[in-house]
Amino acid sequence: MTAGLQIENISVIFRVRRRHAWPWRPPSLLCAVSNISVSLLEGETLGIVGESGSGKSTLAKAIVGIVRTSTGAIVWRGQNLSQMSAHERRASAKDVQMVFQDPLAALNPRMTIGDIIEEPLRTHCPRMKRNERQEHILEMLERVGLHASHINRYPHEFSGGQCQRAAIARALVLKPKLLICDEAVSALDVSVRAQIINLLTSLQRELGLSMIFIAHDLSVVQHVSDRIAVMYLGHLIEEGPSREVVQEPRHPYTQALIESIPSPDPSAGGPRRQKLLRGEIPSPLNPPSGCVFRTRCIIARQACAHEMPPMTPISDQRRVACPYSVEDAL
Amino acid sequence: MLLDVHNLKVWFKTGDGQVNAVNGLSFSLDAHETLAIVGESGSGKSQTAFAILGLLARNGYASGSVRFKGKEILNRPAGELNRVRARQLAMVFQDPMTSLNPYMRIADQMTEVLQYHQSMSRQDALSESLRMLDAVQIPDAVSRINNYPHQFSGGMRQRVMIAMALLCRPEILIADEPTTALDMTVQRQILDLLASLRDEFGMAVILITHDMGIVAEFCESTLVMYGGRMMEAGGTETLFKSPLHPYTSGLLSAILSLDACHQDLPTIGGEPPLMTELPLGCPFHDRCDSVQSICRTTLPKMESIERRRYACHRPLAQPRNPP
Repeated sequence: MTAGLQIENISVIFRVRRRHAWPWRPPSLLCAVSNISVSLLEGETLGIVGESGSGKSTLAKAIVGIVRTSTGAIVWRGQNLSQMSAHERRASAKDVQMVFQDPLAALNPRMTIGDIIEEPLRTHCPRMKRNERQEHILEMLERVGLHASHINRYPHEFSGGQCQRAAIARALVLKPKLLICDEAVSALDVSVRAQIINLLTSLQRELGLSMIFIAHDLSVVQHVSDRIAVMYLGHLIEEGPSREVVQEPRHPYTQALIESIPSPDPSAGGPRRQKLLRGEIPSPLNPPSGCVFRTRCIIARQACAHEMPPMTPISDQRRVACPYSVEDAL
Repeated sequence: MLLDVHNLKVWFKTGDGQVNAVNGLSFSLDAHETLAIVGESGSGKSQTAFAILGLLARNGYASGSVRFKGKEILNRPAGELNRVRARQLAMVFQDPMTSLNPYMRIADQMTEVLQYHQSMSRQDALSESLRMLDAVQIPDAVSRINNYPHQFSGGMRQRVMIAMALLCRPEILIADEPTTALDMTVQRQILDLLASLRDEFGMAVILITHDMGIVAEFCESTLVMYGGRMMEAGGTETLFKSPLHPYTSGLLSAILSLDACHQDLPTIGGEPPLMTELPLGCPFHDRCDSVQSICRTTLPKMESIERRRYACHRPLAQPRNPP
């Protein structure tokens, strides 16, 4: 397998003007994604987990080109996306598509499902004939489990799960090589969530897609991903094959995330866990010095306040940004 | 028996016709019991809570009976309900941002409850509120109490909501999806907090959720709702070990565990029914794997064996009681 997407040291910095600030005060800088490097092989699924405010959606938007990166390079099949003009970028947009969290908000309420799925074809393949487009739409509808008779209906006539299917059809109609799912199943009911996850994994197998799957729920992410990257406050803190990350998490934050998943076995009950986390995620406008996690970490020590530990390889495929281990410290 | 709900029905009159949100629900809650009401969106679980507290929307109607300590509280006038609400029955809502008044300082919102319900002086109410904020582990409560809701994070707002609900030391706390809007690690903190407060104050808790994992950890008994009806109820442990209703077993198998590898997830096919046009017979028959012709025509009766109840023509296992 070859590397499809390579993200090298990208940062996304927003300039935030505080309310009630003096007009001559310079805006504060908010570093939503700082210095992240990660790569994705073709046909592979990379899961990104993190809490709200960890920068995972910003990273996704940077890859698709909805937000501008401040530094670093996004290399897709040898082309550097981050340095392209908007016009050049259009060609590569066919390859990289995205599915958003809230299916109802992501679909234009005044367009029919057919129009919604057709729009990317009109934009990117202007020479395609009308009946050819129609064929593509019908094929896509069938593929995502919607009925051909749904083509003239409006989004409000559908349930959340069906809307998400339509959004997936829109993303896949251009036959992209990379699909980015940003919390694509978080807003769905449990029973429907399983259907959509199965749909995504089977489509990925059939079409040979690479996928970036973003969610806050580690159990969902590990189910679909080959590799997992854990983010916290804009930084990548752990990365590796999903099985290994889940079974032997190394970073204290990853351990706390796994810890916080409720156990589905009632007989296990009782407060048996050790608290691995304290407090809340700090404001990204005012991040802690040194390691970003140190304010909540139970094994934080003085050295942690000085600098953010770099991602260090601990085996061929795993990297972690913490030199200490929870087991040794306790 | 602390709370006894019998044949509760809730319906809404809308432009699209009558929406039957809850169709004859019966359950009871003992003192110190923790009951989970589980179901997908639209199953009527939240409307059940709203009906109990008399908080239905203006186009909503309820019938049946809700008895709190033997006294009927359903459809009572607000004046009468206010003697029970907050003092004995309190509620924590799903979205802490929209449930707190954005124009009022936390101090004012909290003392208001005590001044109104317990005729406390402002000073006493303030110190009691501070004590409660400490109990829900808000750091630096003395200065935070003068903040507005937007100055708190989501998790902290939910703590404030819980503190507010507990101010009058209610006997029943109804928590409607208290952690759905929160991050995983914060969810864990809030659930641990709820569990310890429950033990400290000796409350009964009704936890409304769609997450079976939370149910397993937190609740002794479970009630599964679908299409506004009860599908199955019983002790959490027995219900998880041997679900009788196909829907319960579907929900249980939809739990993602960390050990599962990359295989297809078991699913419940289809979509939840529309509440305006509930199907004839069992509401779940469209999506059920073991559906029979009788399921399409006749509504299954509620069978009950000691503490377990279920409504299914073809239960998955022979219902038995644990030894």
